[in-house]
Amino acid sequence: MIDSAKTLHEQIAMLSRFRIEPKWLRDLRQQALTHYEQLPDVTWEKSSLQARPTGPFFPTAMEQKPMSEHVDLDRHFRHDTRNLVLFDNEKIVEHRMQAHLARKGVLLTGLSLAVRIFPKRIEPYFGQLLPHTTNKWLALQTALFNAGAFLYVPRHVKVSVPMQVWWRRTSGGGLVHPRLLVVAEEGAEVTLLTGEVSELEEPAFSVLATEVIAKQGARVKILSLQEQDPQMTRLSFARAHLEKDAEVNWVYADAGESYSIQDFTSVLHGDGARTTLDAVCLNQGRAHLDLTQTAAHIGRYTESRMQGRGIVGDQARAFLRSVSKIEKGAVGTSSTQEERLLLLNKEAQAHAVPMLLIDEEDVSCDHALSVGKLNDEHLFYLMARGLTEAEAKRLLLRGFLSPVVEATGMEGVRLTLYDWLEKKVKL
Amino acid sequence: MAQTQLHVRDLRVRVEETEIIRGLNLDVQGGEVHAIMGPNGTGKSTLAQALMGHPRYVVTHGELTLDGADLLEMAVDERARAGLFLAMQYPAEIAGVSNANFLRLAVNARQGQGKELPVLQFHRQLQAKMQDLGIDPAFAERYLNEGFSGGEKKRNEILQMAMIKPRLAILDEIDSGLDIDALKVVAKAVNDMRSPEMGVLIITHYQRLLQYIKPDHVHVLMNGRIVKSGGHELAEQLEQQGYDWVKDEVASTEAEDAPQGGGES
Repeated sequence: MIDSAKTLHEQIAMLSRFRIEPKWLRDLRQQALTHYEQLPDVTWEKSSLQARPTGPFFPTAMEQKPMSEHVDLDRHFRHDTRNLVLFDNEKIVEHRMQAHLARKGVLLTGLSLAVRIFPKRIEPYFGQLLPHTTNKWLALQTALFNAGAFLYVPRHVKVSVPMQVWWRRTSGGGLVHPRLLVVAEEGAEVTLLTGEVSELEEPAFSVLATEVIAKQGARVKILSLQEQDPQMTRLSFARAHLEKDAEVNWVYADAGESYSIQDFTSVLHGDGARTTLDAVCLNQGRAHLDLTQTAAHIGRYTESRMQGRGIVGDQARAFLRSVSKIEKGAVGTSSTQEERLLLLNKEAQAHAVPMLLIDEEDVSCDHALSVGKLNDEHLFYLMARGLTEAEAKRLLLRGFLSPVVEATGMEGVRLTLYDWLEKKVKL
Repeated sequence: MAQTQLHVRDLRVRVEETEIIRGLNLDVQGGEVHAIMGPNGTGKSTLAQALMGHPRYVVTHGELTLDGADLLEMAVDERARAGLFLAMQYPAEIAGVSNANFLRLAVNARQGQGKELPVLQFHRQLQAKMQDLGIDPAFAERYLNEGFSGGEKKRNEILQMAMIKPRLAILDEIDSGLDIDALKVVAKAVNDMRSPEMGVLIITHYQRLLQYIKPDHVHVLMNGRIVKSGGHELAEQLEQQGYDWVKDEVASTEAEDAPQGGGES
């Protein structure tokens, strides 16, 4: 189907035709690709993609390996999969939604289907928060995105069961670029659980884009679980736009070993908007995580709370950056940051960087951070009560994570995190 | 179960480069309460920590056995499972770990594999003991010692002791930070547990606690050695007269013991 002699532009045009994409999207992909070719390389303070393969962007063989049975990141969520989209690489292999939610107008579907059937629900928002002009990699994402999902919740509809989107990756190269668009209309409420898991035989690369629009008074919670293969390189940009009194809660939980650059931003545009950005990272092996959480305060009386916990072992590296950006006129802003990182051995590296960029005086900001190792006196205390060293350490690590874990308010996430602690963290 | 016996023979303990315990002998039988008293800085807490096996306190010489088992061969957690318990002077505050969860792990560790206490039974016991000690039931779900007052921490130590049921309990300055009412409650809890199956070693600076927990033996620790032993009346004497007379007595005995034409060679 794909002729390797064709240029990337021709190949993308072919894919657009194959997917029967509307003209605006066809054009956008082409423009984005031109940008990708023209924009300079992105540089990061703590990361570099130099040694990480990013291509090829089109497959040479169509065959894809199925994922092993034991890869089961979704194990604690299988009891309720009534609303779910499951991708194996770029293909949707399962899609379910409850009829009563569909009747209310809730949509949970593949993005390329949605763009054909509900173009008006998508065109006004697509690429608005993360335009392809932002940087080279978002340009590439826009040109190539394929494993896309769309969640739409109409006005005042409150969805009580979590929606789920899972991406399972076995194909190498730069073939899969997931994209997520969430639109919560006025007063809508929804929780979306997303999971990414990979099992690779060769290096793989993905750029992800997540755009969340929370209109007046809407409440959106997005939990993202990661269990990536060491051969995975992952660039992920996630951005939410909050109108008046809206609330967006991000939870990022990562026990993978990938090379990841992960960016979460909440733009608190409307007065009284609130956001939380939570992260729990268990970085082991040679994992590299470069995580930035940003709360951009524009409206008045907005609130943000950023909370991160990292347990970094083996030769893993974790960089957690929290940014409170408060614009002039954002009176009554409150923003707190708390990042705590634990190093389990000498070769592991961790840095926590708090940043306050404040252009308004009438604000309240608070930040706390720590990077250290397990407290010896705590260990002694627990062992003096008969707990073995391993038991005592696990209990301390559980305690260390618990403020963020409990704040997720989701039993499956809690169980997943405690499983990770048992199985992934070597003591 | 047989009577407990703690046996300490010629124990020497070093902290960094300094020898703090310098040849200490002590035997505690089940059912007995021993008190170790002494001025500040004579090694009382060092003794407690060394018995428990804190890695900072290095035993350089001597014997230490509990019920015939060699404690010096054991790591901290093994000593605890063998029945040694240390109620600490400064209990650790551990956020994120619930009191009840921790205590259940500790009780089960001591019980041994296959003999774990069923959850319901554990909670009943816990609630009963908390009531005895005048601890608010809500403390079970609070984080371990976090934000507890000094007195609450000490009660929590005794609660742990009551639940874990050690063979030998060392109470390190358990009376510090306790008001008189709390002191009575703690003393009652310890007295209720007195039995041939448990020995108690109380480490204290003041005699106050010993009015409520009557010791069978009182020892005075000075310069890393037990220099005088007696019954509970010795504690009263120390309270009234202080430690200076013991110091003088020690000095004169040492002079007598010194070789002819002695002094420092």
